Amino acid sequence: MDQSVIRSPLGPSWTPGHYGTVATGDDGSAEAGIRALHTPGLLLVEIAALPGKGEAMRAAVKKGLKLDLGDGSPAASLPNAVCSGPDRCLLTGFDLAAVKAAVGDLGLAVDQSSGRVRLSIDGADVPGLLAKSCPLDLAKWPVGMSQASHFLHIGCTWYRRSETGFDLYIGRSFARSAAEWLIESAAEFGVEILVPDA
Amino acid sequence: MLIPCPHCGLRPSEEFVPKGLAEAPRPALGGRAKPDGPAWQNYLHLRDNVADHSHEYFHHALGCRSWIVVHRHTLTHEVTGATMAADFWKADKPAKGAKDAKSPTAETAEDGQ
Ligand SMILES: [Zn+2]
Repeated sequence: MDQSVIRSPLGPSWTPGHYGTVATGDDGSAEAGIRALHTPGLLLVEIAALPGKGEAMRAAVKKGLKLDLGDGSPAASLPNAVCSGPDRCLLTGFDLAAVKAAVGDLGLAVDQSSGRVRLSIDGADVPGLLAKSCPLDLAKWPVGMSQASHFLHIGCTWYRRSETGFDLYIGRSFARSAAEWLIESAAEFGVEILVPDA
Repeated sequence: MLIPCPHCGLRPSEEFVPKGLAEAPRPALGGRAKPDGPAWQNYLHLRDNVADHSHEYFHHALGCRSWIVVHRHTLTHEVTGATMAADFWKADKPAKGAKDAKSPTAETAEDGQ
């Protein structure tokens, strides 16, 4: 086996293409109720404030990274800064060194780029998939809300990106199981695994 | 059973890992000196098992991963509130059985659980 090939943590099932039910759109083309995307190579850094330093750390992040984390509540999450717990936040697209410089001694910054994967789902049938996979009523959330809960049996931080779009942050070692479950669970709606942007 | 996590709101109990009574005072480690055997024996194994309001540690393992203290009646399972474990040990500890105004309940939780 060629050891130089970097294999996806999502395993071989996660191959771009159409799976499950095939509905036909007005123009005769195949339509999927759910579109799913994995973003490989994503920079992920989790920050956590030291006790009592939450507000100060958010101010430092605002100054250093130009990110407004608001009051640090789940409702104040941003597409690239998702609240993952009390005074904790998952940042995407920032270099660890830059985050460490911004946070200083007010909190801790840990690189999670190889620790978690991000799956994004979108489409008209996303509420149907959510109803089967998470105990929270995510369809009632406002856009921009996040919560740490689970996806099926797997720990997951959820973020509502848009009306029908959600991001799932899942531990890497569970990613393959999550990917397989997602494809199976979404099969009844038809699922399109998208090709990530180069 | 639903548990009102102070950070996450009302969540199903399956997301939590119960970690025992919060009241039991943890014996001193004793440093290099020999640990106090009977005190640790009591701490680890002996419980009164009362039918009353209790304060128990729960870890929100499949959620925000906070340690919280849940106020629960051991007989009826009624949950009257929950606090962050760090806050629980601060001065104004909630009285047993008292409704915790700050923690979410079935009536006040608005975030869709
Ligand atoms: Zn929680």
